[in-house]
Amino acid sequence: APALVRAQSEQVIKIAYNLPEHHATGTYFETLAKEIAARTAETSVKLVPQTFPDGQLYNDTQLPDAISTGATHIGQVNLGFMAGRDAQLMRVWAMPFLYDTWEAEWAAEDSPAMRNAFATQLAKYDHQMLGWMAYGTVEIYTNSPVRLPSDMQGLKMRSFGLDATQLLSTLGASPVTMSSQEVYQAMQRGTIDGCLTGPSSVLSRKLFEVTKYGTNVAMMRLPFVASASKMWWDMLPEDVKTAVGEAAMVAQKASRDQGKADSERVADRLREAGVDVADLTPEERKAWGEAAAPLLADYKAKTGEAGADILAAVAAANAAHPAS
Amino acid sequence: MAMRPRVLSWPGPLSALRPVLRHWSESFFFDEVPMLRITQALAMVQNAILALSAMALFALPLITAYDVTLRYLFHAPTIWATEISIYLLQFAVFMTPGALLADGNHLRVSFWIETRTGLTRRIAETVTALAILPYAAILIWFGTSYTLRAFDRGMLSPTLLQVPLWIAYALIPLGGALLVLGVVLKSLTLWGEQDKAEARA
Amino acid sequence: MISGSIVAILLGVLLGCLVAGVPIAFSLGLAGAATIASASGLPFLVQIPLTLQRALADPVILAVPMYILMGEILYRGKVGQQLFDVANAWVGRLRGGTGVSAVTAFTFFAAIVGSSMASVLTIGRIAIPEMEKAGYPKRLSYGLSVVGGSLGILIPPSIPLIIYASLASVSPAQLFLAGLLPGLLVAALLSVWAMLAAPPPNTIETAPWSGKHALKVTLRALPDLALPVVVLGGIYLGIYTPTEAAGIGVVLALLLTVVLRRSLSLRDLPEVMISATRHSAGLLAIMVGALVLGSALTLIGLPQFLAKQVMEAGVAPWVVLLIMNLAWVVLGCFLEVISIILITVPVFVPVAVALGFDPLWFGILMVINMELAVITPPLGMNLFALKAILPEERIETIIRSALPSLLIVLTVLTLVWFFPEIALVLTRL
Ligand code: NA
Ligand code: NA
Repeated sequence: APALVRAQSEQVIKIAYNLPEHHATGTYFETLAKEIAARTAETSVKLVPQTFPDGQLYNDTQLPDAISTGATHIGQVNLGFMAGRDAQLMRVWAMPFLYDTWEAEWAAEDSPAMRNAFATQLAKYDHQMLGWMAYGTVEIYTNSPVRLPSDMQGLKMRSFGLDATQLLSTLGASPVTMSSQEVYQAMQRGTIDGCLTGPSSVLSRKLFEVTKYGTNVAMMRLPFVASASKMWWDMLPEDVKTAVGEAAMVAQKASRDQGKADSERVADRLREAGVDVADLTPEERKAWGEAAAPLLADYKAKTGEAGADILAAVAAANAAHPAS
Repeated sequence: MAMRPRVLSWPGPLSALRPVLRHWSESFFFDEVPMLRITQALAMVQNAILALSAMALFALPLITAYDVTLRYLFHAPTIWATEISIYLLQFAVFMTPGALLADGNHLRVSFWIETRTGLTRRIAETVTALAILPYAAILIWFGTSYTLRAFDRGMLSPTLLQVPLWIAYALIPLGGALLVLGVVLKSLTLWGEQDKAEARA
Repeated sequence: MISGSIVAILLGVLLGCLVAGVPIAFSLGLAGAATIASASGLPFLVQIPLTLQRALADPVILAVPMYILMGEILYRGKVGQQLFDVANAWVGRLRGGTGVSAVTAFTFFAAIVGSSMASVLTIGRIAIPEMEKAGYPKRLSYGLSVVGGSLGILIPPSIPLIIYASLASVSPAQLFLAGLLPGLLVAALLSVWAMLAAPPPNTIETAPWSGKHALKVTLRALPDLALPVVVLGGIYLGIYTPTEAAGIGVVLALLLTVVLRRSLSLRDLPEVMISATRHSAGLLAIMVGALVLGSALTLIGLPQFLAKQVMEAGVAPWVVLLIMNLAWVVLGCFLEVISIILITVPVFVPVAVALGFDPLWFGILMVINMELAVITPPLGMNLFALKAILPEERIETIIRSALPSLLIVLTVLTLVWFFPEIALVLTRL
């Protein structure tokens, strides 16, 4: 456990995440840090946050463990790097074509069914869930045109994390594991045919120079989660917990707003950079939904009633915030 | 460069310590025979680990070549090659530091220690070996809690293979324990060879 | 937020352990642990197993043991002899011909392996006796060998370049291209040095040059000569990644030495494997230790602090670069290449990029500095490799004879500094 919290004291806390400061997830943590500093200035413990962006302290793979063990006080959780029985219910986060709109995603995430389920499951990993942030969408980038699921058959696709890999296998593609630094060259030389990633990283890693085709379908709308180390959290006085909780709400809104705005611009920026980005017809979208259906069926089978509750919340959110 | 401990001559002023140290080693181990047995058993463990690691590392290029062939010729890469390779590498890297220590294979800056001779050298060598113990203790203590946590929660690798993570994590505390054995073996060798030399004299 | 006493603890433990002769791997780890514990308290030492897990999680690290294994197989399989014979058949009769042949063999071998020690051992073992026979002064033959061996990390493939690429988020293949011309420049300067400083050849003793003979020797060595072409060719054709190329290289090296040349028997293999394992595990233990120290530095915010100081001080970019170079030289005396890279890259690269330096060029400058590091005492890997070939020679003599050759590396460092195109031109094709 971190150093004991003393009354009227000041405590330096570490906030670690894996993406750059200017990314919507970075905005979450930088806003969180600023808000925590401001809101705990007069509480029984004054928290002094110190942020570690860009995976400086821990990367995607280590962050869930780092939070569990108290090696960081607060951190980013990319759920794709958590697997095991207690993570099963949370797999809904990466189901393809789950949400129709950003607002539907946010409404579902904020519904008691989903929020409580995630908080409960994360607590089993000694995480105190603070809130959601926007990673953005995941799209398909390839060197051959992809409009229908059948176009994916036999493509060698770079993948990472459990969910993207399962989706690729379901679609008939061959998932390939390689370091993110090798993707550019592997795309350029044809070692792989494509990759599944966010449009923002296509820009930041200059993948647009070596990819010909992309999709603009919001195949997945990924949220990341912010968690605090539960060992630390449980020792905080109530007034400080309240202040951190309020800070987290402000950060969540800032991150979602930026995530949506970034996402609306990014397809056009990729087109300007020379990538053939496909907007799919409703029929084509439907074909993708059907191709990915086995994943959803598998999720339902494995999660039973708890999963059904979450999916009902998702359906309600989609009904309340339909695509115009 | 790292070097094997060898039989060293006793220097002048420090030779006063000699009976004390000899008494200590005798009273602790009673005589030379069980000590030799301990040394041999420890050396055997370390050698076995080294041999297993050599096989693990030799498997890496074979697995890589197999995966490249499947991907390039048959468009069907494995789902396990990279992940298994990383576990094999972790085995070799986390488990062998003790064996390397006992054999004097770790790289070090030796310009000072190699100017020492006799008992000073032996003491210096022992101190540099014992200095490693706190690090080994950290590996054992924090590595164990890290491993147990993964075991309790049934954590799996986030890949299609779904390997229980505690297996990979356990290499860290096990490696720490082997490192302690390496320190013990190195110290025994350092002081044991002197006893043999004295027995001959 | 940087506390002077924590930095003092860090440096005290690190230097104390290093100078006392504690293995580098544990000196780094202990300094990291002491820093974490004093900055954040004992419970935060849980950061160490997390960092250890992370250290080997990136698939690019798999290249390290595979390149080392390949070097070991080629060394035991006496592949260096073929390479040296070819070069010698063509240019051996010239003044300085034996030296030029050695440099050519070093260059070629550098295009196969990813480290410098394997180069010195494999080629040096053959070239040094030949140069001795030709009456070369030690200054020349040892100098050519330590610098020629260091080409192993500058000419692709290269373990340090792969690790830099991973840390700095640049393409390893681009970085490989950037290392090629500077590497050839070093080789060219070494050849010129050999031609100027070698004694005149003893033409009476040797047979006259024969094109037929040279061609015959070349044809015989064709499989050896094809090795780098296949390894690097496969990368550029997209058949495999630079990491995977190491594995393909091992398999090819086995085919060449065990099946084709039979210079390595199956009975020798266990010894080759064990020896490569000692070398790999030792190097990677250092890498892991360096990462523990690196994560401790991050925890106390030292990289950010230094970067901020440099940016706010407003000194000229070239001054910053000079300071970084001096830091590399000093660290290069005491630490091993991979640990220097792991500790300095996260601190230096963000600053370098903010100052407008090209990260590919910066990486090449760093690796040229690492060529110095493998030669500078007290910890110079290539000096140790030379000592291993020449067990009778005193290490002091080796050091004194090898040091003047540093001038060649410094010359190339200066040239690449002032003419970045030497590194970058190939990456823009
Ligand atoms: Na090389
Ligand atoms: Na050095």
